[in-house]
Amino acid sequence: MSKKRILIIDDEVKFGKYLKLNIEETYQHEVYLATNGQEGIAFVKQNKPDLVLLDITMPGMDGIETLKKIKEIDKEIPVCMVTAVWSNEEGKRCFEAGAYDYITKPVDFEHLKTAIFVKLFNE
Amino acid sequence: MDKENKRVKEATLRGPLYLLFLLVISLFLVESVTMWFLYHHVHLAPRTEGLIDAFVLTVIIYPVLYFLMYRPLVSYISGLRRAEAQLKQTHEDLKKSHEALKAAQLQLIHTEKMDSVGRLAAGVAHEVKNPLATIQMAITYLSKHLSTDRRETREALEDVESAVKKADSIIRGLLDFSAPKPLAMKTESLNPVVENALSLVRHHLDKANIQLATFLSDNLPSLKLDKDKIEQLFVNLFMNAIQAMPQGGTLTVKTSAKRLTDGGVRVGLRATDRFRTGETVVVSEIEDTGTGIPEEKLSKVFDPFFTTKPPGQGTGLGLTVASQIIEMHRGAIEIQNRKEGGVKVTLLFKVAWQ
Repeated sequence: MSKKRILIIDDEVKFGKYLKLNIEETYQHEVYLATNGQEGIAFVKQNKPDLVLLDITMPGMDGIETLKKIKEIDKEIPVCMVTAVWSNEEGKRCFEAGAYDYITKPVDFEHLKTAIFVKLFNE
Repeated sequence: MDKENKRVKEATLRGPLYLLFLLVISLFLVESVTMWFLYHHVHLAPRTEGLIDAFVLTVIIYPVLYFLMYRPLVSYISGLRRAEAQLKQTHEDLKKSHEALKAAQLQLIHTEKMDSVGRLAAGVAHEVKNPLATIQMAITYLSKHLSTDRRETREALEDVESAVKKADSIIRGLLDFSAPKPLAMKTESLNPVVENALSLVRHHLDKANIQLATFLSDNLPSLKLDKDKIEQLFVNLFMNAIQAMPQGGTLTVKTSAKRLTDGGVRVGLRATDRFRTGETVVVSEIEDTGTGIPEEKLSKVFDPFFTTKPPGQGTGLGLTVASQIIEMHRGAIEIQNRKEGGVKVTLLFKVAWQ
């Protein structure tokens, strides 16, 4: 299995830290952490990640805005939304902007593994 | 001023002194004229004069008394009686209006409280779920790195994970309650929904050694239902009943159609949701043989987070959400203790064609 580059964009630093650790240990992938939308977009521009895990509710540029900007840079980058509170309305906006899936916090890691694995390896 | 009030006023004006004055003057005038006529034009014997005087007085006084005293007094008293009856009626009407206003006020306060809970829920959900997510991720990491040779270590990790899941379910319950999703209403029969809900709790019934007795009437009128929500409602109620019978017992589930003979108030959030006398409704009754609910707590069972269950069992939102689902279907739910012990839950559903 080739090493993949995964980007986590989430303003909850501690959550991001443990999520990064768990993914790294499970998949031995390179996992990067950005704590806001602008930082995430800057990373995407320089290092095209293979997958983005993107928080919806963030101060300043929110997840949906960030998603649209990522898709402008490269529409092929798969983005999975991560959110504490999911609503149908917000979900519709996410999928329309190009997200492929979503997971809710607290994260069921098995569900996350499936979401990542299926997308990264298209299997 | 209408005719009635005019007559009452006129009767009131003819007060006792006024009437007495009229009486005296009338008697004096009539008597004087009559006796003057008799003295000057008719020769009367001395004895006869007294008799005629008495006769004239008697003949005059009765009509005068009748027209000047009796009739006005009767009219006056009737007027007073009518006014009294009107006052009594007005008092009754005011009392009813006052009670209706009180009920409306209580309802407004309740709605306001629920709205506040809803607003709080949305804000709290986000702020609480994020730290929960951090704890969950940290536990997932620790589970791989901490030595789990010791039973206590394994249990500690499991307990934290289970506590996170519990907290999450409470938040989700609160969100469900505060922002209920719109209903997907279709014309359905109630029995298949009830049977489906029973199949979902069958395992729990068997595990708790609870006997199931069902009396589901055939040919029930169709209802407009959101099948999933009503199924959820029944599952909630069945689970409450099961949890109330930890030592086993009997769960009885009935459905029937009924023509209401009493349009009395049912438990609900809106006075306008009262069922009318003569209305056909579909009724479902769920009875258990558990310990029942303390009488002083019966009025609170629909309050958010109120529970009679032991700590760790349930979120206290089941009945709140159940009453909300029934309310959205314009139905009613009533909970009462059975004389034989246990609880009876009665659900009323409006028939689709009404």
